[in-house]
Amino acid sequence: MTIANPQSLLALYNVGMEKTWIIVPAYNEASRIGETLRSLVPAYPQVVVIDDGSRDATSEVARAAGAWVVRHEVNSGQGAALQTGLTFALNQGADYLVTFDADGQHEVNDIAQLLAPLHAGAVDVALGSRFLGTTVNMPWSRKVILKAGVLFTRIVSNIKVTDAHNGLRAFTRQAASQIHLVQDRMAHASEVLDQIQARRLRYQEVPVTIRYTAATLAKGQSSLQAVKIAGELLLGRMIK
Amino acid sequence: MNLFQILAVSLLGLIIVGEWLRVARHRLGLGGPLFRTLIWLTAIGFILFPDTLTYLARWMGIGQGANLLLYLLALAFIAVSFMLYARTVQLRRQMTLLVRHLALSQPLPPHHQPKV
Repeated sequence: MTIANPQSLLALYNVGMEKTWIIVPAYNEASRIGETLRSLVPAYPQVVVIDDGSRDATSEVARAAGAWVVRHEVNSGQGAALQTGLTFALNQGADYLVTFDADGQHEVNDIAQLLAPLHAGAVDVALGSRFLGTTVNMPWSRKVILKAGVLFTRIVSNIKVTDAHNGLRAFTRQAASQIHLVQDRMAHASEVLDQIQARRLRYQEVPVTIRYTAATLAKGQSSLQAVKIAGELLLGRMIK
Repeated sequence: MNLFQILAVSLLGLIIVGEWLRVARHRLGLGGPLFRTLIWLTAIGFILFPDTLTYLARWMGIGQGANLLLYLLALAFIAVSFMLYARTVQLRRQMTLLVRHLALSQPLPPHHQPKV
C-alpha cells in the first residue's frame, strides 16, 4: 500500500480513545528489531522507531513490522533519539509515552504494569527496575556496573532509585512535555532522573524483566564506557 | 633588546593589532579581545623583562621562571582543552536539533496499517 501523505495517515492514528505511543530508539538493529516489533505492535499499534542513522535496513524492517519510523540522517546518540521520539509522540497528541529498547531485552507485558500507576493518576513517571523485578542471564560484571550507576545517581542526582539505567519507562503527556534531553549519548539516563527530580515529577519504580543474550551484552556498556558516561554527564552539566 | 625579543614582541604586537582591527571591522564583543590582549601583553612583559618571571617563581616558591612557565602552560592547556570540548558539545547539540527537525518533518509510515 502506498501512502501519499504520511501526515494524513498519522491523523488516523490520533482518532480514538487513549493514545499510548511506544518509542523505540534503534541503531543498526535490523537483525533484532523485527522480532521486537512483532510482539509489540499487535499489543500497542502506535509504535515509532527512531532510526538513529543506521547503516543497515533497520528502517525498512521496522516499517515492514508495522511501526512508524522517524530517521536521523546522522547518528546522534540514544539520548537524542529518545528526545526525538518524545517530541514526535507529543506532536501526535500522545496521552502516555513509553520508551522501549529495540534489542528485545524488554517484555511487552511489562508495559501494562508501567502504565497502571499512570492511569490511576498516582504518578507522572513510571521507571522500570530490573532489581525489583527479574533478570535473565545477567552477568555479575553487568550487575556491578549497574549498581555503581545507582550509587552514582544517588550522589549526583540525589534521587533514590534501584535501577538508574533502565530503558523501559512510561510518562504521562504532562511529564514528557517537561523532559528536554540535551545529553545526546548514553548519559541521558541520568539526565532523565535529574529532570524528574528538578521538575518535582511524581515517580514510581515498577518491577520489570530484563532478558540478556549474547547479542544484547555485546552492544551493552563496558566498565570503561560507564566511566566515560559519568564524565559526559558531569562535563555536560557545565556546558550551556 | 636581542633578536628574539624583537621578533617575538613584533609578532605579538601584530597579533594585538589584528585582534582590534577585527573588533573594529566586525563590531564584535569586547570581552574575548580584551582577555586575549591581556594575555599577549603579559607575554610581551615577560619577554622584555625575563627576570620578572624568575622573581615571581621564587616568590611563589617554585624556583625557576621556566618551571613557572611550564606550570602555566599546563594550566592553559587544560583550560583550552575544556573550551574546545565545550565548543564541540555545543556544536553537536546544534547539529542534533537540525537532525531532529529534519527527521520530524519526514516521518515514514508503516508498510501496512495496523488496526487502531
